[in-house]
Amino acid sequence: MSKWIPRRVRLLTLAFIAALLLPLAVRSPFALHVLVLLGIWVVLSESLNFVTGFAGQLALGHAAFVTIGGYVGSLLMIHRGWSFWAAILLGGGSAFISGLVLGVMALRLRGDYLGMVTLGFGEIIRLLAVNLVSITRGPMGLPGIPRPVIFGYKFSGQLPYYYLILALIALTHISIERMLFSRFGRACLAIRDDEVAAEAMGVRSYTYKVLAFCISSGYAGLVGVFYASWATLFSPDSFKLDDSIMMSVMITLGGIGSLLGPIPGALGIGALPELLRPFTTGARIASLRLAGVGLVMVVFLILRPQGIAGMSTEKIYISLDPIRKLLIRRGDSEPGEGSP
Amino acid sequence: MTELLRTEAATKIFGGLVAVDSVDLRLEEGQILGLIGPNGAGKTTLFNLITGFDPATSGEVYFKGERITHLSQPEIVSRGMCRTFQILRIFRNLTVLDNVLIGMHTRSRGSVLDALLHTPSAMAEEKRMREKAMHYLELLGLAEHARDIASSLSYGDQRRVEVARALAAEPDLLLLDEPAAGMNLAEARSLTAFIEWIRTELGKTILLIEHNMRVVMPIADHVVVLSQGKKIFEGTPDEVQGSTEVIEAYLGEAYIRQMKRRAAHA
Repeated sequence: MSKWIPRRVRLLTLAFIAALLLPLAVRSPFALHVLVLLGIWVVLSESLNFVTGFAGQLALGHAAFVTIGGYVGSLLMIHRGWSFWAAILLGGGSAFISGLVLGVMALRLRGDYLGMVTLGFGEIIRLLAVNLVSITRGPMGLPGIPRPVIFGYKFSGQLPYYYLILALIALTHISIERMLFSRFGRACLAIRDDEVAAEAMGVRSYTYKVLAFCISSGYAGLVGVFYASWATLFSPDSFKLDDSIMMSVMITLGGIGSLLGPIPGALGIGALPELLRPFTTGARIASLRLAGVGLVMVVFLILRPQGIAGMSTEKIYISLDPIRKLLIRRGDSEPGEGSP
Repeated sequence: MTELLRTEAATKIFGGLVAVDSVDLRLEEGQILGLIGPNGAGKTTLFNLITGFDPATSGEVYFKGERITHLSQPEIVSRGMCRTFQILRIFRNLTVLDNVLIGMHTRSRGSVLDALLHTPSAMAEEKRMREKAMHYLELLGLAEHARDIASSLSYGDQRRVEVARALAAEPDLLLLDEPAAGMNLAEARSLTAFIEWIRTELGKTILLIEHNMRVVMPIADHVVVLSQGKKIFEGTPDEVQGSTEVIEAYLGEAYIRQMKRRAAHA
């Protein structure tokens, strides 16, 4: 069985190789810029999927952790002269700790209530970033964030950032996959499926929920520092409530609790504004994007409520080929409730 | 024989309702204790109180001589007690194998870091766990379903998944809450044989709530009857079957009077 490689892994490896080779074909800085942005969305939705899809906890404040990581990293690089690599670790760490602090308090709540608290937390962080002018320069944001240097090579242009985000995606995905197929991951899945039964099997559900929450937040912190360095500017508007909601939409469309789902979800929704760009400009893109997302959501929830990659763990263990699954779903009926 | 579980004046009060009223239980190693009583007698509440799901209002619970009254469920599970539920509570969206692996949660150690780094010890543990889980699935005849999603199994098989999951926690004391609920006669019969087998072959002690007398009576060493939260009778299965108090609790006073009248006429 150890020789048997799941289709999911083969598919991902192929996609990753294709992504590595993509810059050979795509050379325009604008296109690369869009690709980096899409990469950011992939990492964010994969990490949100970890807490929402696998541990089953509704978190709507993911952008706040990006903001925390972004500011901590940027401030360290600007004022303390830290290298990007040290800053990104500490940015992730600070988001992890913030997730721990919020999680310890908020994860006593369930479902919608947890959603509300995390939503509120997101707003608190945004307001802090706006109003702590002496530290964050308020709405003006932090400009002039230095670029990463690796082995004497200073990042310039889009290409190195493209490869860096690919590396971050790989790191995120591999670590999430490893955690999922472990005692820890199973405990999370058990909590999602039936918290009462999980407790009865000796799973300390509160501890595991907090852990899943802060791990997921940690990834967001890494993205924050990456974004700050890439955009060379970090402001309270870089990541806000809309973005948290967009991440939820991405994982919902992709398939909540599926290992692959967040990727097509993030790429699809992330690319939407760029697809609209030929038809309109400026502020209208933002509003058209929201309308587009709404439309896609409605269509999906009617036609395919389980998302692109299909329903939860079934997908994790069997196959993640969406097309094949779509064909099978047509034919067979849902496994029904056992008849007593 | 040594004592495994003891409750002393265990009481659970919900608002104005005394759901479990000062119940004393004693369970010895290797015994099967049947807990019976009409609906609403407080059997499941007593279970919840023993397993730490919903701790006692007053009174004490001792397990292996240690007071566990106010310990959390995970702490109690790791001390060697595991339960099943009256209403099926398997992890429906996970595979049968994963259900059993989660049962082994307290019997394994792997941390998040182990998982991230794939440390050799963690990988070895994972392999060991999988082998053991397959062993439990084989015991219950579920091996060929290991990779199936639990909710796709038949009801009887889902019940067996729950038992396999509980056994995987390697408990010394197994608490079964109406395991035969919803089973037909043949299924109930094989379940009875299986419970007996768990006791003799695996050396487990069993506390069994069951409505189906065909399941309880042949295998229980001892039967405790609850009614309206109180323990009204305790004895061997034969003694219980002959007790008027018990018949009265189940069928009502009127029934007994009627029976007596008939007996007098005859």
